[in-house]
Amino acid sequence: MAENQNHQLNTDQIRELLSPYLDDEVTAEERSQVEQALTASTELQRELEALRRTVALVAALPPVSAPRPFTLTEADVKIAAPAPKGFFGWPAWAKSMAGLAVALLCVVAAAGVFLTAQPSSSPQALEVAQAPPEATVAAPAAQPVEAPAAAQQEAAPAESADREAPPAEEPATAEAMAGAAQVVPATPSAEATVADLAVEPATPADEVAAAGANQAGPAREANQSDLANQSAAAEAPAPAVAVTTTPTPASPPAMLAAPAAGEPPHEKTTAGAEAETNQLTAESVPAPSEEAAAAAAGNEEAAKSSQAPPATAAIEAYQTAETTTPTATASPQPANTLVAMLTLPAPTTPTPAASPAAVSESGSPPANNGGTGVGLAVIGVLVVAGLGYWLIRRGQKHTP
Amino acid sequence: MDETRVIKEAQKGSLAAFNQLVMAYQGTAYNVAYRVIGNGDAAADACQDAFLKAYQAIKQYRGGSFKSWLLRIVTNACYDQLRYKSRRPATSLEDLVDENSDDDPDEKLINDSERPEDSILRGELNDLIQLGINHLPEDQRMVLVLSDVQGFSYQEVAEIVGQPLGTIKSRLSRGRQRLRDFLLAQQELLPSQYRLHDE
Repeated sequence: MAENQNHQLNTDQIRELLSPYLDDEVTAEERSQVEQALTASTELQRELEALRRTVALVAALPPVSAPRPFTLTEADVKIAAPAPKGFFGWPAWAKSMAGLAVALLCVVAAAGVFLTAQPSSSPQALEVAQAPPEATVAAPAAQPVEAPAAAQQEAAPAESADREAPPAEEPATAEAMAGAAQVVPATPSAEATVADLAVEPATPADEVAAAGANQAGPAREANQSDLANQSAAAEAPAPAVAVTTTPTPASPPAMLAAPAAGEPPHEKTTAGAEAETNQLTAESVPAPSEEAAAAAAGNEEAAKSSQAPPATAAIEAYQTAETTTPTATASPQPANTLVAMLTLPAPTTPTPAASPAAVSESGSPPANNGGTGVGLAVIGVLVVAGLGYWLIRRGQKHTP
Repeated sequence: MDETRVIKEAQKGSLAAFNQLVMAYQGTAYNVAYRVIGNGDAAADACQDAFLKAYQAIKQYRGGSFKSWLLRIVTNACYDQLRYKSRRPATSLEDLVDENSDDDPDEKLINDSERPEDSILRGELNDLIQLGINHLPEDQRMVLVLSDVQGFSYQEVAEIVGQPLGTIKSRLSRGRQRLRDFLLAQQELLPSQYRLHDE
């Protein structure tokens, strides 16, 4: 039983080995196992014998002769040659048409990509789009420069008129000077404020706001609060208005100059100019200018409420401030230099006059893009043609 | 015939050289096709297609056994014929054998040493064996014909069919067992001297 179970366990494997065993296509170990199994089982022996007779009967099948010769003729070869089945079994004309259609499709696609890419996505177009806003930004930025310059110009003729102005207006002027002096630290106690102002107003807009504040009234507390507000506003992002980097108070002559005769009181004039400046600033830097406008309004009120210090004291304070280097300002330079500095960046900014140049610059690359597009289309056609030719040749080679 | 020289000439495009190769191997090719397909006309069509394809592909022959290379083309043509006839089952394989019994190529072979009655019995036996081969799956049928009918070794059969040696052993073993079982079931139809089991 155990022996039968052992044979039964290996019966299928032994049966599989009977056929190669007849052909002597087994290993020595396999032969040993088969022979042991055959010795132990008569049924396996019968199966092996039946298998041997079957193989013998098949081998005894007589050979059959060919009904005709299968030699080839020229006609047979010519009939088979004209229709080489290559790529997908398509005829040659269909493959040629398919390749031509693919090439045309590539050309059309390349042209479409080229045409659609021109209007909106080109960087030059973006430059053109950006040019006007920059010019717009530059224009208002230039305006604050121009405003002080205009103010200077107004101050110049006004200067002569101021000499003839009534002395009553001097206190107001002195107040403005004192306000400027306070912003420009005349005393050590103000140095910290100035230092803060020197550190924080990193943006030109802030300095413009500071300039606006400098032109405000003389109230020290109000100025300090204004400076604090401006410092906070300085953290707000502002466009690069390089023109307004120099926070200049009105030049001493301008500050000394009283409004022209017949004009409203100096303080009002100052406030008006100040408001104008603040408005111009608002156009370029909305956020800080709002603070500056509020500060200017506060200073105006403070100026109205406070008593004007003596004019001589204001002058002295201003002179002291002139000697001290306020880092908040661009430089403690005379008025003329300040005006020059204010006007200096103007040429470098993208002005409306420069925008056509940018447009013209943007005009030149499209020509290059046109040539690039055509070149890409040509390359695409060549690649498709070469690929199609390779596929056709490959199909011909694989023809059995 | 210097087979190597003739092959080279055929590769150069010489139709006459190729026909020499055809004449040398057409007997073997037709026997394989006939035993695998089981029908003379279909076997002839398969051989004609095989030789035409061999002529077109002669330049791809890179040496080795030309016989194996040619028979591989023949076996593929036989598979094509079997698929073609399987899609058009006008008659069964058994009917095909009986249909061609009048035109049995075996009758063309004259064996003077055999008595007529023995010849008839032999003919019937051959038909029965062919019928058993026709009942085998195509892969087992091909291996059995190449090994037991044509006498190729296991290695040669593996090269012709393009399968590993272990696969050839397995297919041959199962084909022989199936044919044995078929003939055992038809034992009473076999002549006594050809019966598989001694009674």
